[in-house]
Amino acid sequence: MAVAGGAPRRRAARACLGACVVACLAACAASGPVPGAAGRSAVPSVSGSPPPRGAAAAFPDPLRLAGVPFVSQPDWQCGPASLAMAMAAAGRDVPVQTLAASAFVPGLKGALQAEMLAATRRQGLLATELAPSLDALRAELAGGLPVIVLQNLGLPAFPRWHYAVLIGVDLARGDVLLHSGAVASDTMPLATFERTWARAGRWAMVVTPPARLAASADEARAARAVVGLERVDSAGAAAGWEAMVARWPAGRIARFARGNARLARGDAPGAAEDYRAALATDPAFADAWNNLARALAAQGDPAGALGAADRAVALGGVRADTYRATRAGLGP
Amino acid sequence: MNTLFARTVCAPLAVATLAMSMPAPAAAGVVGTEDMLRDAASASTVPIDRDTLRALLDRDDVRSRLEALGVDPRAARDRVDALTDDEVGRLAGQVEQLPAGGASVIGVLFAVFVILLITDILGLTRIFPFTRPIR
Repeated sequence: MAVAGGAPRRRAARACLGACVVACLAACAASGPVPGAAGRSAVPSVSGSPPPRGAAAAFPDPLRLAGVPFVSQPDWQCGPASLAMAMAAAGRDVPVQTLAASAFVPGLKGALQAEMLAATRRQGLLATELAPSLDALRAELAGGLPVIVLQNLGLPAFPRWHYAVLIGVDLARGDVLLHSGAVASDTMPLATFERTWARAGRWAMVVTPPARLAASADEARAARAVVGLERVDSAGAAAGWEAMVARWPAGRIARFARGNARLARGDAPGAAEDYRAALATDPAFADAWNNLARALAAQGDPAGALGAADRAVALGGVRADTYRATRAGLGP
Repeated sequence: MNTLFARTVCAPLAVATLAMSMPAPAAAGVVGTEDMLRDAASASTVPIDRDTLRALLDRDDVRSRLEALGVDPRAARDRVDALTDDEVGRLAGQVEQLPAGGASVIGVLFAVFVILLITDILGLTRIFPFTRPIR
């Protein structure tokens, strides 16, 4: 295992004073073993003993990903380089220059977190922001995904923002393993990592193919990842919604979102089925009643549409105006 | 700097674009997934008008600032398009927390590419009270 001293780390930090947004909590989905990418040498494999069954947050220790390709960062470009590594681990080789053109701001000498997410989507990949906890990072590593983390290697008042790729955590020994700056498999004490990560708002993201959801993501986080992809890649997003419904068959968000995607494709009956499933879980879901009314109206069921619209209007909420417009469009 | 910019440029622009910049739902009458999620995520929502955002990117002053930052103004459009409304709104919220004057390290780092867009949005939100969350 390579052990890097302080000097290379400082050099790396200087080379990547990222223009990262302060305390912007954002996470992306990192890449991992991909269906169809079997046999790729770049796909990471996890070493470590299997987790004990039944223990929710029990992951192997140490966790270490082998085979995450290292990409040394060009000047200041820790963001694009980190993205390139995560994407390569997801089975997609994208040149750093390509990513720099969508995530790097030369005048700021850095990459904004939101643009790290957006640049991932523009490659047709899912960018998932993780919950701000070490357990979430470990859950992704255990699933085979390297994690892009944002660190503040300076002081709160004099930040040195830096993106790195987390590829290992060893709780027993108290250190982490990072592809960082110009150093592959750099070892950093866990306490130092946690401090620098906390100073950057504990921001972390993973990159995955659209059909693979981040292991640690809850329904809302996964949905935010997929809805971001939907902005630039509706086919990829459709695969993401399917994956969400597979993981959360009765999930109000998953069913609502897939319903919307189906309705946008003109599949009103399929959409209505999804909205009904969302409403079975949450009968007070006014948005779903409203959209169900639209879907039923589209498939020629004015009576059903009227009933659903009435429910939405009765529930009200921040979008009550939309519900009333839906209701008004269905007749007296 | 941001405040001055907001006052001198954004406010008139906001007024000028009022007529054409009503925030529109995704599809007619259908509540979009992004909108639904934004509610769940946070109460502070900043409606983003994509047409106004894109129009900003065509303005000469914005283009010259982007070029000064090394960002291709044509590419900037695609970059902004790949951000969700929530992400743009989140950045907008952060702009308000920046020290006034823009001389701090953070202010400089943060300054231009996104800020130019965001201050304009903030100009809109300050002028049109209906964009504030009602509680």
